[in-house]
Amino acid sequence: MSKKIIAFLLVAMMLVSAALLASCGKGGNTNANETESLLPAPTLEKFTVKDDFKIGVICLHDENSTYDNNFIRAIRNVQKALGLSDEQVLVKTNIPESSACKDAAVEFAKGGCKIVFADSFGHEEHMIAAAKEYPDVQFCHATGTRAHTEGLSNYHNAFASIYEGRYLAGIAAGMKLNEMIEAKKITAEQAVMGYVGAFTYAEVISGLTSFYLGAKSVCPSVTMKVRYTGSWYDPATEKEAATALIQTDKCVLISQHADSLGAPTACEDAGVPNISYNGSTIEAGENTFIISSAINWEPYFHYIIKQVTEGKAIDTDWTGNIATGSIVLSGLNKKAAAEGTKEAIDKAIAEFKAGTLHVFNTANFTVGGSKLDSYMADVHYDTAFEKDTEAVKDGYFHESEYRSAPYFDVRIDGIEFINEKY
Amino acid sequence: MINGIMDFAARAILQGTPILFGATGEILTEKSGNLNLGIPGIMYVGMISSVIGGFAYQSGGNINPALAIIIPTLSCLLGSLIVSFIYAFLTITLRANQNVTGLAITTFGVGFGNFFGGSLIKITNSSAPYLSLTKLSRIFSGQKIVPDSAPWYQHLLLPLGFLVYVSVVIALVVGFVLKRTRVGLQLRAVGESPATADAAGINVTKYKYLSTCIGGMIAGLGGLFYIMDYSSGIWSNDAFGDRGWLAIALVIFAVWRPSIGIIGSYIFGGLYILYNYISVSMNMIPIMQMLPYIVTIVVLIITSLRKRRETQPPASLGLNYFREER
Repeated sequence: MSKKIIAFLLVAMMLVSAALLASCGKGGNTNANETESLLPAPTLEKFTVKDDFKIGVICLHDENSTYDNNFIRAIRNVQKALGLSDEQVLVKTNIPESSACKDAAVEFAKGGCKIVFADSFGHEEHMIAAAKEYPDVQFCHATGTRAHTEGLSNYHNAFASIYEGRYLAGIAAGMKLNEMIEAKKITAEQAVMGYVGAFTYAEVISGLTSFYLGAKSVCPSVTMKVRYTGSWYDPATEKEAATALIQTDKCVLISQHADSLGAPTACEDAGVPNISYNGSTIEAGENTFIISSAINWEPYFHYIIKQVTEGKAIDTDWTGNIATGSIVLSGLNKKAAAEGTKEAIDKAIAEFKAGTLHVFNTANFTVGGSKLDSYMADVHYDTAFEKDTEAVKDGYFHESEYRSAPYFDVRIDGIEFINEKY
Repeated sequence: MINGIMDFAARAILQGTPILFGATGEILTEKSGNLNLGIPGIMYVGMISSVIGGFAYQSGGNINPALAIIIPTLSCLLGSLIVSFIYAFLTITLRANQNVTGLAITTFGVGFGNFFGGSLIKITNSSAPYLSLTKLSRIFSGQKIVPDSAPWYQHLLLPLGFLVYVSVVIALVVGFVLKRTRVGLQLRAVGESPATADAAGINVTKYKYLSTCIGGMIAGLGGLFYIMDYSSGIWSNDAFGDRGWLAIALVIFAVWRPSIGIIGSYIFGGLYILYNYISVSMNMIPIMQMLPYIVTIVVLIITSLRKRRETQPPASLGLNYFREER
């Protein structure tokens, strides 16, 4: 009898705690020190979608991953803007990069989805397999590289020119360094930035190089040190890497390309300014967060739904940019950002829109001491990673033009890779 | 140079402290003959409980330093107590298999933490999926980065929050109780041979319950330290990593002695982050992070070869006691 009572009590206790939690009030997430977004997401144009339209979205993790959260929020916002019902926008989370992805895609296609979307790099081959079986359904894949060589009319890749966003965030970093130099906190030579990167992929190198070039465009003496963690999400490893950059490598400003808050919290602990990624982290770094850049996937979802509704073809490779509204910046933290940062960023945004500013302008960096006149990039998919396309033309490296996913993997002067494999 | 070494030592201690809490709790539990493989889950529940308590308190507005420490700590103790009580009830009263129950508790604890963590994040409607208790964390933690000009001992001591000292004191007290007191002697008797202890008039069930529950609460404090001090009060799902398993490995490394556990936890913590302080390529990071487990296996091999009585696990570890079975 007593055992039954205890068992009952345990169950009751769990229910009570769940109820308590559910009754918790809403906490706001606005911080008075954060300005209006410097590059906000655009409002989406409304058009009528047929009632039998359905889109299926496949995500690697769920909302609790920074990466997938970005996609889920985007499709939900588009759903709201177009007035679609929950039966028309189906999201499957925690789909691994295995045949489970194909199963999910096939299930969506059989269930009447006109578009199937997947968000993770490793989903690609399974999406291609499903695309071959269902030629009437459009398969769209973010971050993939194979659509332009695969020759399927219903399989598409997409990415965004996030290197432009990183460049803009880099300007905020450079302005901060200038402020520190002027205040005699550091000398011009001590303007060393640290960068915590996940892997040595082109996506990361393209991002960190553009961040560095953005900072260099306003602070010419800046250099940068990079530590890789070998993982997209590992809070402690990222935190330790950032701490080592601050303590051992004497970096005075940190940015990162990995998904946890390890680096931002290490910066807040140390009082070192931080440039964040994928959404504002001001709640974690109220004294040190400066600005954050992110890809906004709303325009892409909006675009593919519109094309299918109007019976038009979707681009094989779609690269969102500042003009499409695919690059967003958070607001500036008034406590940490330097004077004049907004003006400097606004100026660069205007130049991007006018097409006069190219991030990888070869006049602005050197490789091994000399100017980069020619670079063969690995653009076409093959298992040997053959360098197949000349990417330097008209005085700049043409990033994300020959396919949507980044392929800039040049190690330029001024950036030291501390623990990259040699 | 000396400052750099002290910085590394401080980071190693911060890495080691959650493991030390977990290992001390597990040693206490195992001394009663209960092999609690639920420690990773219990630490995780301890962590989310302190977050729930802290979040409720922080949303209230004004923060009183004493309450900022007391509320998360009590929530953490309560949460880990409930989960260890479930484990104790299942294994001691219902005599369920300890390994299976422990693993189930770990799975349950992590799921429980992620469910409530994820729900809290939804409540805050934050743009990135994390929960921030930085205001409370500042009261828990030490000064993380020390300027170069500071003397060397400040590089070692300033980064350490008060929970680091608590972990050492608890480990020493548990070691003392186990070795020098009558209670400890009786507890060890329960772990070595519950039938004999029972015959001597020791209440086996009471000892097993108490050591499992107190051990679980101590382990839960590891979660409290990890979230409130080490992580600067930032909760995101699955951030705890494999520290719970490291704690169980440390029990073997420390040959069931909390005082060795103190040194061992700092060695584990140091090995875990060593790759940042010697020049190795990123490909070596997972191999370097394997070192604590390799060291544990080496210790296991050595102690099993030498067969000294003092370094063996409690004789009835993992076995449930049933009086009528004698």
